[in-house]
Amino acid sequence: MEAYLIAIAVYALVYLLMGLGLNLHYGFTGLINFGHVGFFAIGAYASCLLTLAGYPMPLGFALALLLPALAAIPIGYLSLRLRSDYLAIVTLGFSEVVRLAIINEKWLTNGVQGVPGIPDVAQGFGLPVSGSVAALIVLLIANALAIALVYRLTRSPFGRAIQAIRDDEEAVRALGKDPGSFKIRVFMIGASLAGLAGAIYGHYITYITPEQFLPLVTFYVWVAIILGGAGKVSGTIVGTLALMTFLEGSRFLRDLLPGVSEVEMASVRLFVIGLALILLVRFRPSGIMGDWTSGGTQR
Amino acid sequence: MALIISDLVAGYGGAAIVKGVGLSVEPGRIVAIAGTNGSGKSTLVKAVMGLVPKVEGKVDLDGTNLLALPAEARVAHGLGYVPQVANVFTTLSVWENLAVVECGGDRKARIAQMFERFPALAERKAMAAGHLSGGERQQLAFARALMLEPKYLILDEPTAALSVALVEQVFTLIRELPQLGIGVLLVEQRARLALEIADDGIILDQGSEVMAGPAAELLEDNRMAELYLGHAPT
Repeated sequence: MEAYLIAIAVYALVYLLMGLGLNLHYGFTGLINFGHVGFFAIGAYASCLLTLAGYPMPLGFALALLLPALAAIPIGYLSLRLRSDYLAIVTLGFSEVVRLAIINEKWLTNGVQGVPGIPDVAQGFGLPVSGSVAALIVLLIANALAIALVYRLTRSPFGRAIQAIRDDEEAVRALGKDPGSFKIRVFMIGASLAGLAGAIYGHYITYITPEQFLPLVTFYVWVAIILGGAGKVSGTIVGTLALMTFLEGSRFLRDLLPGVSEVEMASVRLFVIGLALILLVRFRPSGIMGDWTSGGTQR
Repeated sequence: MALIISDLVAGYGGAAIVKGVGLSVEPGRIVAIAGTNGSGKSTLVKAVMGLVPKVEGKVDLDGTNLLALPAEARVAHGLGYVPQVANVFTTLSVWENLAVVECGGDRKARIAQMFERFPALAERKAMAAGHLSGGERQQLAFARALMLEPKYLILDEPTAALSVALVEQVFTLIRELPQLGIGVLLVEQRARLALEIADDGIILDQGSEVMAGPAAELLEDNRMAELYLGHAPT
């Protein structure tokens, strides 16, 4: 049971770290990014491959922060010329290109067979605990730092500018600011957080394959943001908790429905998750904590 | 020293909406642009600000050719702009709307000056701008533009969507601008009211200038009054 709870906590914190980045993109800047998992995958492979090559894990984490940020630059440039719906399509395509590149570049990534034997977080940092507990500790620290970063950032002049861009890009230009440079920087910061989440995830699970980086991961993060309330740090935290409650809580339906077969149970579970999401969005359309339209300085 | 617009052609895609318009605004003076709906008034001022994709002609601000600069760089030359209707950042607070402006000097002191000038905003500084009344929103839009201490201010239909009671309040704000040495380019549906406070005026129809000159003369012109100002002068 303890291992199960640690696993849930690790997954929740991985989603939260990704969510904090995506919330910067969408919640605070209004950029629709359907390819967040692409940055997550780049971070995971970058750190795991580097540490397997014998380099220290902190260096792997640094690369997991850097490479997704660099990958985000062309996406940021594209966002300057694309309407939000087209940006959504392009980012979705980006994440699939990343996944297909991982599948095809076997010399580097071992293709669909994946990368086994990845050092865990305890080994990487020399912690006297199990790999799972070490991942949990590192994720707690990473999330605390990320929350502090996003909180400070969104209350800084930079943060006010990106929220103004979300409200009215043309008016921002008329104030003498270049929205493009803000969008690119936001894409880079959010991508870095997703990359770090990917690195910690890879070292937690110690075996990564391209199948772990499907668009579904991005959409889970979107669900968390929308459930909690986009454009608020507290919304991402609460939304991630709600998402994990739906995903994991529905497993216990098995005890309530003894006559249902295992195969049927999987469908029932998805039905219940979907219904719960629909009801929540129906009765709290701005998310549990209220989204950016709730206004003011409350975040 | 003036904002001089010459032979301006502007539009979207292949269509020219503004067709060869010229005017000039000097510091401390108000120039009103009037005309019917779709006459190209807003497109003209958006072109001056760099917010229209297709622009030809010349826009000279105190010797600088603005058309060679991106929109965000034009502000640094002393050009301010209050957009039509959606002119505040609705999800930011009143204070944040002002703080988003990089005004060069002491930002906090400048915000304090704005709150002194617009006391109603000071009382609501923590409120989301989307929750302000129409008149308060206009005050905030003016205050935000004035944060940059512009030499020339473009106002795009500042009384649009406002009640009659609030229109006079906004026109009072506009009248004060020349006293600060600011040249004002005022686009306004309420042409008669605009010309009454303006020094000069230009009447547009289907993107072309049909009449221009001192505002008082335009107000006295019977043909213009009947066609564009609602009724002839009495």
